[in-house]
Amino acid sequence: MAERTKTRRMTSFQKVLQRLAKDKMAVLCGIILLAFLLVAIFSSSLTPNDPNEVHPELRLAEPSFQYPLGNDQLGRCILSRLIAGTSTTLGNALAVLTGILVVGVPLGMYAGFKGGIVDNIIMRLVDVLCTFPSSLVALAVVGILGPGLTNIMLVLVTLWWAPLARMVRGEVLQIKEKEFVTAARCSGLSDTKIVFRHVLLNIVPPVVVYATLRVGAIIMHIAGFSFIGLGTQAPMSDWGVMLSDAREYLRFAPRMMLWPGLCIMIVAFSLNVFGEGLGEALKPGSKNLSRKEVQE
Amino acid sequence: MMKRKTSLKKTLTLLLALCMTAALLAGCGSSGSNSSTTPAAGSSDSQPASAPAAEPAAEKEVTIALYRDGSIDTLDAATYNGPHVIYKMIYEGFVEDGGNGKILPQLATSWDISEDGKTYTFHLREGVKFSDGTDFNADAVIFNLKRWMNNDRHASLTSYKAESFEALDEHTVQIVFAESTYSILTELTYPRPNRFLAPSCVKDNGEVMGEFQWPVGTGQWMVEEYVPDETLVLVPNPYYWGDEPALDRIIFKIIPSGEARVLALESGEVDIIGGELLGKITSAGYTIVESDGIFDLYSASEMCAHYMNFSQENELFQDVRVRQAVNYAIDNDTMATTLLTGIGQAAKGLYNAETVPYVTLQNSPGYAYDLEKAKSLIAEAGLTDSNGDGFLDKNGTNYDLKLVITTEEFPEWAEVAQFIQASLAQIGLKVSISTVDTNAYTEIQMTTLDYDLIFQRTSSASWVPHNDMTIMFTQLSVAQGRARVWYDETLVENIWKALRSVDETERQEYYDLVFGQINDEALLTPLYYPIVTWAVNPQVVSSFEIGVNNYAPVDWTTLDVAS
Repeated sequence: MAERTKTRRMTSFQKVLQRLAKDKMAVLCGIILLAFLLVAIFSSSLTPNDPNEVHPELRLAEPSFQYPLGNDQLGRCILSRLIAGTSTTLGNALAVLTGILVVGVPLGMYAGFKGGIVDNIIMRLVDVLCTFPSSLVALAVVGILGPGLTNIMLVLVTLWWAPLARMVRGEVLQIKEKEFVTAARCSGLSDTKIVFRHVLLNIVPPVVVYATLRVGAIIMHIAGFSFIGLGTQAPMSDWGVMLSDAREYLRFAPRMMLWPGLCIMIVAFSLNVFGEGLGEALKPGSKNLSRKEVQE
Repeated sequence: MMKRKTSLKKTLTLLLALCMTAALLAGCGSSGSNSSTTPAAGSSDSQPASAPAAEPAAEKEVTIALYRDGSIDTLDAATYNGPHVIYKMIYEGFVEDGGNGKILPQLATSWDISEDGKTYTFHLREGVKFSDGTDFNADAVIFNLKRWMNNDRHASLTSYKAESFEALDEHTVQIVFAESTYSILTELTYPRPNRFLAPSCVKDNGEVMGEFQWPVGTGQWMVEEYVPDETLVLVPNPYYWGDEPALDRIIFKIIPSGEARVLALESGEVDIIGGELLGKITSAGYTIVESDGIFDLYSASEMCAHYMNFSQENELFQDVRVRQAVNYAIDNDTMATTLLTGIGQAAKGLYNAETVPYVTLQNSPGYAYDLEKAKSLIAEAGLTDSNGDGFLDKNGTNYDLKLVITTEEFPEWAEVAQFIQASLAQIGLKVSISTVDTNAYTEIQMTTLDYDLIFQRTSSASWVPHNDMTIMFTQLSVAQGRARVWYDETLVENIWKALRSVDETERQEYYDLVFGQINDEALLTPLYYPIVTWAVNPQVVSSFEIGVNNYAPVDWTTLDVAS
């Protein structure tokens, strides 16, 4: 039994991959993302120089053999900072994403599945949170608790689980009415089992798409706050910080701004295109896929 | 298919946005390079050559960048609102700072000081009128004295407390000060609060505590037009008793951002940028205007100094060897030549011995960069790195020092802080930089003292060293037992002895003790002495001369337009 399930799932997964493979742009973006992810994971061994080592004598130096992208205003190696920045930038974004998923998915599922007063309370809370502009709240929190990455990340998690929860609830409401859920209920399965075995699997595709698209927004937000000096604090390297540092030297060392700007753009762009491609690939088959599984 | 289309649309929108950004950047760039040929409307009037057919006697105007709003509607001398520079242009005091410690007569032509140094008799200049045509006399002086004398708001001044003050006749005023300190006359040159407003400045004409309405003074200039956060226009006071200025109008344009000020100069929107209290030129900005090659650059060292000080509460810094090690570990010379091009000079002792009175290279030699010595001092102090991560720790927990800075007023601090962070890492001290906004910074600096390390600046001009000493080293009323920089009983005793010394040699002896202790016990870490720089457009402006101090940053009398 277990064997067969596995092969079937594999085929469905392969179908998705096949569909995704047709979208050349999405594949390209997926590869780019993978490359960035690898750089982020192995950043500490990939940096050619110590990203935080200050060399005042190399201030704004041109690219050289030892420093391929040149040096910044404190003579630090730009390439090393860019690589170290990949891991902070992506790492922070993924941490926020995890937070959003951990809070948003269970609450959305609970609200959708239980309904009634619990649903009402959670959804009104969601409505309230959705009305807050995240940048404004982040500024207020920074004003009270002081600048720092943790505060910005907390704000993003606090506010951005809400739209996810709303989406998950919507999906759950639809799935709840499906025959296989009724069947499962008739066969005496407990609510917990139904939720974990049947409902959760079915909301994975839309959540994956949502998450991929959201990471781009998170990266932009964190970079934005780092840019105005409220996010990542020195000497930690971060693309937003690098952009901000480079701003003053735009007129005579524009290359300082070029690299972190390009990285942010490419990653955010790739995430969007890949996310949409993934959504497209998952869409038509997703319902069949789940039904088959449930019929087991 | 629909999906594909929308994503294509998104891509196109993104590209379009990119193109627009590029166009915007290109636009900024080209306006810069055109600057020599297209002066803006405001300054073109002032060029006789460009408007020969217009009015025969074109008004002579110069536009200057100012970093903050003029606050003209609250420019009350008894408050601290608005830019210092504007106070000095509109109002006058008894005496004026002549530079190098010289005191010049202003509204008082002469003065007598009693034997005990407490009673001052000022003989007022006769025939002086306020800019609204009313007379300046002893009554007007008394009106003003009542507004700010004995007001605790000005307690950092030694001249704020008076036992009595009275008008002896229409042109003579006598003040009996509570304390006799050598700095009273110097303090009377400050832009505030010791300035004289016309009684008509306040509601109900002459009501002492009446609400302030509009600035009226006896100074060389008066306000013609004021648009909050945009412009401030000054014209000569027709009733002024002294020299008539060469210009017919000075326009201050409010430009808070340092980068924007450079662009404004390049585009011809303003003719002069720079100056400590008008709007500094950043290090990067200085490099830009220098490479433009079409502006006249002026610079002067000033009396201010920037330093880093320690939290007296932190046990680490209670050991003098650690404080000395910090001083030895920071290479001020390299920092100044690389990070502070054109804006700062490497500090030795707390103050610049070349400009500040009573400071000598003997009493404030500073600490030359010596990493080995710093490391050995740290070792002597018994600090170790037990977990081998390169940072000193105690029982396995790293010391993590919070360095507080603000970059709104001092943009260069961001880089200096990172330089310090890297320097102190070399002796195993881990530093975390906390960048806060101006209000939070003031709160931390003056009230909560919540830091391990903090960047601060000294006062400037005629405030140093005497006022600074009390500001930095005497106990704060807000944080019991602590001072803004460091509290030490002997030090404070010597400071007061220096302030109360009437004899010049005796005063120098006490100051030697004070500066010697600050230096030898490394009570703080001097970083750099800022240099005041100016960039002037020579096509519009002529006869630019740097003024005597930051409060009178430009000689407003000689400043003229280019012919």
